[in-house]
Parts: sequence; structure tokens; C-alpha cells
Amino acid sequence: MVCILGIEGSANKVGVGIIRDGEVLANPRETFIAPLGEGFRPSETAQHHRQKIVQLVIKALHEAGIQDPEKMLDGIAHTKGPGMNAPLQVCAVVARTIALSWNLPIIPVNHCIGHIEMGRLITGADNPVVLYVSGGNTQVISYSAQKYRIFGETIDLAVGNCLDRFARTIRLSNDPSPGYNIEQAAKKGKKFLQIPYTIKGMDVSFSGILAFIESKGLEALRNGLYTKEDLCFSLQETIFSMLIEITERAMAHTGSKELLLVGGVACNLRLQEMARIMCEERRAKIFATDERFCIDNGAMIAQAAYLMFNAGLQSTVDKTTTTQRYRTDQVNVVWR
Amino acid sequence: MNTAYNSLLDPDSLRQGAEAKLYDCVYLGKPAILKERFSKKYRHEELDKRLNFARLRAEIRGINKAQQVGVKAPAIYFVDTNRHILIMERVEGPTAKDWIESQRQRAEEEFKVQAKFGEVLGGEIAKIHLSGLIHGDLTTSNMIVKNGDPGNLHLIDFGLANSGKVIAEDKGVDLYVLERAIQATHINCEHIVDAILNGYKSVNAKQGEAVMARLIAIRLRGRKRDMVG
Repeated sequence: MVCILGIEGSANKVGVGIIRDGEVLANPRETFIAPLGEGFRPSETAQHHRQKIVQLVIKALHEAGIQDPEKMLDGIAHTKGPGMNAPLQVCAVVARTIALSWNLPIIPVNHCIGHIEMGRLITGADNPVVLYVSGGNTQVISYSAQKYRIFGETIDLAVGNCLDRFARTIRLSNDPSPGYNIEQAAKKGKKFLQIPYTIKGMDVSFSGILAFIESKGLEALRNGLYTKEDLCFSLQETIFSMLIEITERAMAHTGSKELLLVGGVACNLRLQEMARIMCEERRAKIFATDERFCIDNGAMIAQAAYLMFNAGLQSTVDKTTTTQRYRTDQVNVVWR
Repeated sequence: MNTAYNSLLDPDSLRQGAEAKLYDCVYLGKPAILKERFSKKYRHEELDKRLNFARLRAEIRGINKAQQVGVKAPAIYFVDTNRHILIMERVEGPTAKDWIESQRQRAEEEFKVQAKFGEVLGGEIAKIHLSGLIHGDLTTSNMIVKNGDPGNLHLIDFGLANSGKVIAEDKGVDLYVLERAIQATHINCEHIVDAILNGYKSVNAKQGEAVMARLIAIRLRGRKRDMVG
């Protein structure tokens, strides 16, 4: 039996998860919620993580029933990147500290790989095309020859970033998350505003859409032609259609019959519904998880590390640096 | 057997591409393909209509323009704008994707033949770019190597094509999409990308220089993407 404790904190969530042979023993998490109209800044987010992380480690050990970590754990994992550097460093410092004091190996993990491997574990998807959509990442991924290869991605903003920034301009709350509040508002929207639709091959672009909705959209709002709810609805319908379309292009191109949705934006039930319809239309199977595992969490880092550990990969403390840029296709996937 | 539009349709030949259903058919005695952009139920009705119509129009214009500048693309036989149906020439042969993979067995010759393919492809792309046309979806699934002859390359799927005010940036993105598609689809095929770029530059040096400069900038931008998760 192999048991790994994983620490994640690349953005505004900080989480500690413990996994033993594919079983999630504990996965507590805390979220830094920025004030209305603001995004989360690196220094404030890091401060939040510093205040929460020790109690999260204690809570996870307690929930998992681990009294003697030195004997009952086999390794400590942390997110190497990509992410915001200040919050990443908080997690790396804690990971190094407990790894040294409990005399355990340490395993740095690529955040995106964590999402994919957790999605595969929870849903049982075997070799899916992966749509990974979050605040900082928008990628369509497929595995071949020891690499998760990026078939399509955003060429500018991430989809979640586009949604978050739009939420700020119409002053939607960041609690529990801007994306969730857009999703709820969109349910009440009826009138469809034509928004630019930008796909290039299997890539998408959101910056023009954000600029459009922040100028023409807000103008229509002031003139009383459209409500906030209509704008949320139109924005969601348009950008999710773009995501589903590039995903379908990748599935047609690779011939894959499975789709896995991961990342914070993948919690959105409208996106999941659209993906399900697309899959039904081409007789493919869809796999999605709920907010416990879609949103950043510690267990996903532990799961990726579990696979790496079993493949004989581990690191030394002097190599446990963090990095803001760490592409999904840079990782050598030796465990598949 | 369906005789709509004077064509004999083979219902068992259905294939589903990324955005359309494809059937083999015979149109006025010629082997043809019927391409139907069916309504996508996942997207808003208004958006769906707008996109299907725009894609059909882009495809017809793109094919026309490509043929005008001597780039091979399937001839259009029939159009139904209400049902977003297109009947066009059936080009026999593997897609470039299948063709590249089928070359893997013949290790020594492979490089030469693939390089030739790349140069031809690069030249064809340069020609359409020079005419102010952007393909918009250059992947190895969207080109057919007619009868397996890499010199006889046909470009298909012009649904995302656009023409008009086209700048070096647009051309660079077109090439970048192709470069990434090849890297993701075909393992150890960097030499094909090099050959494509050489073929591209050989058609028109001025365009080649301007677009290569953009392509370098676009690549850097692409790498920067991975920031926060």
C-alpha cells in the first residue's frame, strides 16, 4: 500500500489531500475570496494560504486517521507549477518541512497533470480527450507516446479569467466564485446578444470577446436593451460553444470516443450539458466530476504523485522549486 | 438509396467529421461527397444558424478562391443553403494524417518523401495566403493526398476560411495552428514542419519573410499561456 499526502495552492484555493491506492482518505480545502470588484492578488493569496495551510495538514491527517505520518505515509507531494509563484512557494515550503521532519521522499507535480489523473481516477475514463478549463488554463489534451499533448488551447485569456473579469465589471460577487454566480444569473437570461465567435483551428481566443462585452455589452445594459442576466447567458452560450466545438474537432481528429472534463470551469452544469449533447451526437462517452475534484484540491496532486512514485520518480529537496510556467506537454508521462 | 438532388446516396457511408456528416454519393454520374452541416443541439439556435450559414459560405468562397490561384480543392457540384448541404467532388486517397503515419514503415525513404510532401503543402498554403485567403483550420485531417501521391495534394474543409483584409498576423496564426497540429498528432515529425516552412518561403520571399517574423512572435505568445491554474 502506498499513501501520499499532496498539497495544492497554485491559485486562490489551498488544499491538502491524502490518497491511499486510489482511495481518497481526506481532501480539505480553503478558498481565498477577493473583495467585490477585485481579483485575487498573489501576495494576499499567499498570506491567506500561510494562515490556513498548517491547520489543513492537521485536519487531513486527522480525517485520514493517520497518527504516525512518518510510518503511515510514503511521500509528500506539492504543486511545482504552473500557477502564481507566491502561493506556490507557501505550499513548497510546507511540503519540504514535513518531508524532512518525517523523513519522507518529496514529489513535485505538474498542476494540469494532477487534474487529468484525478479525473481519470474518479471517472474511470481510460484514454479520453481532456477538456481542461479553469481560471488560468484552457486546453484540449490527448495522450500519446508518453506525453499529454495539447491539441487546442487559448491563444490569449483563459476561459475562467474571461468569466471572472466580466463578473467584476458587472459587479457580481466573488463568493463562492464569480463563475458560479454567472452560471446562476445566466439561468434567468433570455435575450441572446450576438458576441464575436473566435476559433482558429483547434484554438480559441477570448480577449476580443471580453473587450466586446465590456464595451458593447455594458452599453446595451445602460440602454436597458439587455439585462445583466441576458449578458451572462449570451457570454456563457457563446464561449462554451467555442470550447465544445474545439473539443469536438480534437475528438474527430484523433478518433477518440471518450471525453473527460476537468478544471474549475468544468463544474458549470451548462458546460457539462453541452458536452453531453455533443458526445451523444457522435456516440461518444462523457466523463465529468463534481466540485470536490473539478476545483483545485490536494488529492489530485497526491494522485499524480502516487502514479509518479510507483513509477520510481521522486525528487530531492534542493530540486523542489516552483515555476509559474510549466506546460502540460513538458511532463514525461512514464506511468502510462 | 436516396435520390435527393439528383444524387445517389450511400447511407452506409456515413462518417461524422468535426462539424458535419459526410456521405459518399454519385452526382450526375460522378463520384461525390455530400456534406451536411447539421444543426448542433448543444448550442443556442440563433448561434447555430449563424455559424452553419457562415461556415457554408466560407467553404464555398474558400474553395473557389483556392482553385482560382491553382491550389487543388474539391470541385463544388451543388449547394443547398437552407439545409447547409454541399455536394462536391470525391477526392480519392488518404488524409495527410493517415498518409504520414503510413510512411513510418519505410524508414530510409520516409524522410525524403515526407519532406517533399511538406514542401508541396507549404507552397500551396503560401499561394492561398498570397491571394488573401486564410484556411483557418489547417490540420493533417483537412488535406487529402490524392491516390497517395504527395505531389497531388488537395486542401479540404474551408469552413473556417476567411479572406479580405488579411495581414501577416493572420497568415502566421494559420501556420502556427498547422505546426501545433502536426506536433500533437505526429511524433518525431519536426522535419515535416521545416519542409513546410521552406516550401512556404520559396513561393514568395517577401511574404515568407514577413510571415516567418510573425510566426516567431506567435510561438512565444503561445508558450506564455500556461500561467495560473
